Amino acid sequence: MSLYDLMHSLTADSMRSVGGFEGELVLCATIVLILLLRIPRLTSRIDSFYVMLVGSAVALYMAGPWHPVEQPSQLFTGLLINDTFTVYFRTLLLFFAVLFAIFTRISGVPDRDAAPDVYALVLGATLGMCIMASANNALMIFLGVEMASVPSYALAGLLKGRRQSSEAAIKYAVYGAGTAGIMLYGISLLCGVLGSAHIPTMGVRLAELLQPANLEAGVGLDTHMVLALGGLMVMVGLAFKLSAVPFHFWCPDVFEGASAEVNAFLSVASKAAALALLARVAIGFGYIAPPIETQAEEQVALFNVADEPAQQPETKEQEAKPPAEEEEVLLVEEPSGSAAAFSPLADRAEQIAALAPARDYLAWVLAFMAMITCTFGNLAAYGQTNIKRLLAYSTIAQAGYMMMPVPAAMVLAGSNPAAAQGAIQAMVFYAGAYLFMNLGAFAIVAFLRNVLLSEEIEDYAGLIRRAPITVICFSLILVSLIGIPPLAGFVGKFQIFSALVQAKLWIVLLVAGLNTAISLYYYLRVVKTMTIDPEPETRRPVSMSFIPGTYVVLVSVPLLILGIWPESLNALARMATGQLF
Amino acid sequence: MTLFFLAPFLLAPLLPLLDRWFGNKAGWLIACVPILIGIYYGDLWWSLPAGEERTSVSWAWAPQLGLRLTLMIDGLGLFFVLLITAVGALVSIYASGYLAGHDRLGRFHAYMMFFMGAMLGIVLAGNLLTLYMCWELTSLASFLLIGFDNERREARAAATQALVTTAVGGLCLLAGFVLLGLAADSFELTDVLARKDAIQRHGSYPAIVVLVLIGAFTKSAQFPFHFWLPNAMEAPTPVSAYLHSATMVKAGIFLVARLTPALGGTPLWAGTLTTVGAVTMFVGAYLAFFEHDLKGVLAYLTINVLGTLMMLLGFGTPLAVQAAMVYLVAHALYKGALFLVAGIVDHATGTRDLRKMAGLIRRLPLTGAVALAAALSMAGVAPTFGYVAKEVFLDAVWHAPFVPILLTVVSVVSSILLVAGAGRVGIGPFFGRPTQDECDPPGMTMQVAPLVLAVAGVVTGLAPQTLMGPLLGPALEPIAGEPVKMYLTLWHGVGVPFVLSLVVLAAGIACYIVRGSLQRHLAGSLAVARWGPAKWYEWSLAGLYWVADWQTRMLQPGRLPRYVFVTSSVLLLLTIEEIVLRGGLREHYPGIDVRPHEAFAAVLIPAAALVAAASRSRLASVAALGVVGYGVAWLFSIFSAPDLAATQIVIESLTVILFVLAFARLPKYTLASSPRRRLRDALLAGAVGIVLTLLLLQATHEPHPPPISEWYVEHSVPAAHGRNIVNVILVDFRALDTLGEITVLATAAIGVWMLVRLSAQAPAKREGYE
Repeated sequence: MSLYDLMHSLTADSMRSVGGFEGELVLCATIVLILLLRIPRLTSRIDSFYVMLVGSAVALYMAGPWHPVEQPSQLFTGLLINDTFTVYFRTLLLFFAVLFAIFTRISGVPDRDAAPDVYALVLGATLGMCIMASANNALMIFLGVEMASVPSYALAGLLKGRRQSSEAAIKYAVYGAGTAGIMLYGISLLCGVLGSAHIPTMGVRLAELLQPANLEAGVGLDTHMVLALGGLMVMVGLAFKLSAVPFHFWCPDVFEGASAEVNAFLSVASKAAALALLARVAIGFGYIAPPIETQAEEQVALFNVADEPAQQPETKEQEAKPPAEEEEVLLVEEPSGSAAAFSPLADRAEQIAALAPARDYLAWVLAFMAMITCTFGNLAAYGQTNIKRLLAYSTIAQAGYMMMPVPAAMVLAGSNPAAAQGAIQAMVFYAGAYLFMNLGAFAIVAFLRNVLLSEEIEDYAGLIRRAPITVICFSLILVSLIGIPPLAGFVGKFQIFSALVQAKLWIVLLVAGLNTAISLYYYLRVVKTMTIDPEPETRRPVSMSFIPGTYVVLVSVPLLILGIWPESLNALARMATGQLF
Repeated sequence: MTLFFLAPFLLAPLLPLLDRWFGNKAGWLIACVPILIGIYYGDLWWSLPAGEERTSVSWAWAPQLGLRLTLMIDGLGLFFVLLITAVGALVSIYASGYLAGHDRLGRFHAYMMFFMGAMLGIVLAGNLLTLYMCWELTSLASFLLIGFDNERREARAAATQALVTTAVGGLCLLAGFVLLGLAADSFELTDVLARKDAIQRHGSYPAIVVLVLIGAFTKSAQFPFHFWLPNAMEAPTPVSAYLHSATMVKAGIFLVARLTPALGGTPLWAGTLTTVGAVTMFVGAYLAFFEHDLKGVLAYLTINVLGTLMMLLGFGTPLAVQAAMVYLVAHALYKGALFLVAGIVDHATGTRDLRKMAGLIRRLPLTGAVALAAALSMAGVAPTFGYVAKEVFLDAVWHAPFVPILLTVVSVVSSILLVAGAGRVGIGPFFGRPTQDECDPPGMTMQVAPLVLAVAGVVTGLAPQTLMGPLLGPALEPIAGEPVKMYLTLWHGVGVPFVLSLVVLAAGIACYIVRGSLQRHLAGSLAVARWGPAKWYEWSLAGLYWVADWQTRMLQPGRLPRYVFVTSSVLLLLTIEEIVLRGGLREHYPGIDVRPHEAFAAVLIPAAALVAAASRSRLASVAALGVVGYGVAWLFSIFSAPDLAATQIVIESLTVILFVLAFARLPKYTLASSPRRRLRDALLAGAVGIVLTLLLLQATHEPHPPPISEWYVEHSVPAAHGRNIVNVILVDFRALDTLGEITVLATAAIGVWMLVRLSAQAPAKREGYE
């Protein structure tokens, strides 16, 4: 192949890939624009809010589900994947960015001076989250997580001059750096053993390594340990982003220290992206997705040389094997040749079957993590008196619920891919409903902070007399977080629970049920305080103005709509998961 | 049907307006709504073609999950619909008198209407999940209504307690419904009811029964979940009369009746219901005897009746089912009247303490008459409907399918206490020497409802079959699963029930007369009640709080070192666990050929790291960290990666410089941790390091797929005419990546430039940052 061909195919691949990456490119451009506009005196007067709003809206338009993706395609020589799952989460994230921009505008935090920095950071993090959702390469996992995290550290310290806020940012950064290091270590172990960073290739290699012939002969058993631990360390990085126990420590402190606006961003966008990535990683290592048929596959293969279970090196290896093996026997006390452990499997069904141990392992780790996360979050939320801290623990608990379908999918993937798809669909639906729940909750907290100057639950007492619409909306949100019909939270939880039933994960189901019972109390306590407790006599005169009220209604009414007519979001969720299995 | 189902929910928000326009007259208008709804459903059912028992409408909700919203009306549903709408109409008239002048009367009406809609939803539900949804909505409405008098702390506590108890029960119910739906392969009630065998053979049948019954028991205040009901008497009296006596607490009864064809007929079902019902019946009657609060007595007696109904449904015989329904009607009539009377008395005298009331009939003659009539019905004195009910009840118990003697004894004792209770609430306050001088006569609006209920109690007693037969007959069929022949009459002839009835009446009257000394003698037994389920509730909440608090204090103290410690330990433990589970590390490290300059790096890096950790001077630490970085760069350069080494050196230098610059702004370094903690941290850090190193060694000695570099080695000369693979990759194979990197660097440079400019522009503002 001549250099010309190489360059040609490279350019073709990049040009093709740009088509599936438009949303992200618009985000990049918006960030640069926001930064640049500050420099010339003339443009520095332009309110960065409008740039942010228009930028994220255009990105949403470019990336939205109205551009159907019939076939998944790999972007940029296989680094990213553009399928309906990506589209769903990208849409979710960008939609959130639009809502978030309006929210910050109404709440007035950040002020106009800080706004360009904050918007640039938010868009940068959103870009990282989009990459997380579409990662198709182990390095992109790391890059995406870091791109999403580093701006978040700065955002957590947004309230400058407030000690708590700076402390939260430092804790977040140190903790995040630690877990990122662990994850990178895990990634290098996995990539080193499997010889590729391209996730589908890694999946195939893993299947080859775990094939029954190897297991019977006891080949590569030590590799399994390295892989298991590598996987565990990658999970640490994901658990950090999901704020799953025991890697959640940053979450309550950061949520208390940071402003409610930043909390909304961290709890919704960050979580959605982390869930998407979790599903991608779990499916990538526990299942072999249907092969991607693209015209440009050749190019993709070319630049991921290692993904080709290529005939060429393979045959070479086999030719070279006998002497190599002898040598190794002499040098190393390792009877198994390295190539033998990776002998290719016949077809996809066989590969999927061979991955059963990986699925069991993932299901076990994730189910365990989900259960303790959920229980810890709910118990810790139980005694909180500060609404932001309560919501922080509620976020942890909700992360636990949202993780549960993934182990269910792992259990089901081998025997019943359709049911596994249903499980992931439950997660996808819940993530969508969760956007409204937590954005609404934190928006209300922020708006009430502006009028009450307090974030203590007891200061909300009897608020229904002053701000009835806000209180009703907040109650809707909290009741939806519990999962009581006819709200979106119920439909989401119901789907998750039925996925658990199908996967016969009875213990997880039991834990989830008990946790729902615990969560009743603390969510309803807030509702009770707002609705039936008497107003404190020292209450400052409170009035919610029209615009925040409208915003609150606009984000909480979808919960009712999705609860009564869940098919609207479910159709999208079904579409999103259609290309995974 | 849809419209009428939704009507209460749609109308509820409008009621405050109605209240503002019409004032106290609004109650009469609002009462038209339930009446119209009742007439509509009655007409709907009675005009069904002969032979059809039910009609339903259904919409898809989330079809792929089997979630549908289905409404269905049959005899049982209609029976409850009429009960709910009739009492609802009366109570809303009463409420506008009771709460006259209250500034939130409109909201009260709205809550009540909302509740009625939800309650109608329960009895009309044709789908398990529809039923569940309405079930939770009634809990919510009950919460709002109990806490309506939110000025009082007790009211708020009681509201929360009732909600938590019933909602936990509700969750059990949901779990039970999901299992039931899976066992029956459908959430539609018609399917569930038709698939009795499949459900009862299913492995999860016991779980279904237990979960569903917990739901029913919490709602219907069965022992040991009964404690919330007396506390719920904090609610305004119309609420007590409507929700906590006539309708909502009957939801559990309804549910059991509804599901009997699918779940009933097994020893588990019958045994649980009978035992819990009988215990509740006795506990309710017994506790009522010692209560002095008028509404409290009524609440405990309601518990008694609810227990009776559960027990009767547990028998499952057609006779018992019939008894249950008859008893239910009788109870709704007399208890409704008595609650409303209690409200009038409370209003008129300002007290609800039974010991402080006497001779009220002179001031409140009509109310006294109503109370007397209701009390007679409650005591089962002919010719009231209560008498008819008591006869059938005793008959059914006498013919109980198991342990009839024991059950009869318990029932008789409870009934005796019930008669005594009837005396205490219906006769005690109204006769004897008056203790109160002041008395506000109640308005007309408050008199109507109790009067209607009491008159109905007497009239239906006179001609039970004619008046109640057409209503009760169809209601029994869906429970028993077969047409039930029933005949109600005032005079049954002399039989066992009649004799028992006389015994009960005589003993009850005796009990009432000597109530004072009986209460004193038996008061000691109440000590047990102090350790009863209400305490369990408190303890479990307190225990949960304690666990939550402890856990949060342990795991979330706000100190970063603790977090890092916990996280590292967890990681270490998991790693070691994984290694041990998989049979330990194999010892096959080949003799690594270490060259001197490699050994130098291997010694230098750890040593520098140690210095960085141990040093007390920031500058020294940073310098040591720099040495670590240079050591790594050294390693890179040894292993033929000069470009990486170069990058590393640049980055390290920059980092050190930045650190040093930033240090000027940091406070003086102090040692915050104790030597012990430092030792602990050092050990942990060392352990993590060692384990990870071993792991890495393990990873490098495993079978590997062909290395990536071979491809580049092969192709670099023919494709790109270059011999230095790194260079070829950078400028040829990954040329666009390199271009991208340059772009990123350029962008970053712009950012830095901007930062420098901004900070130069605004030095004053920077001060604020510190």
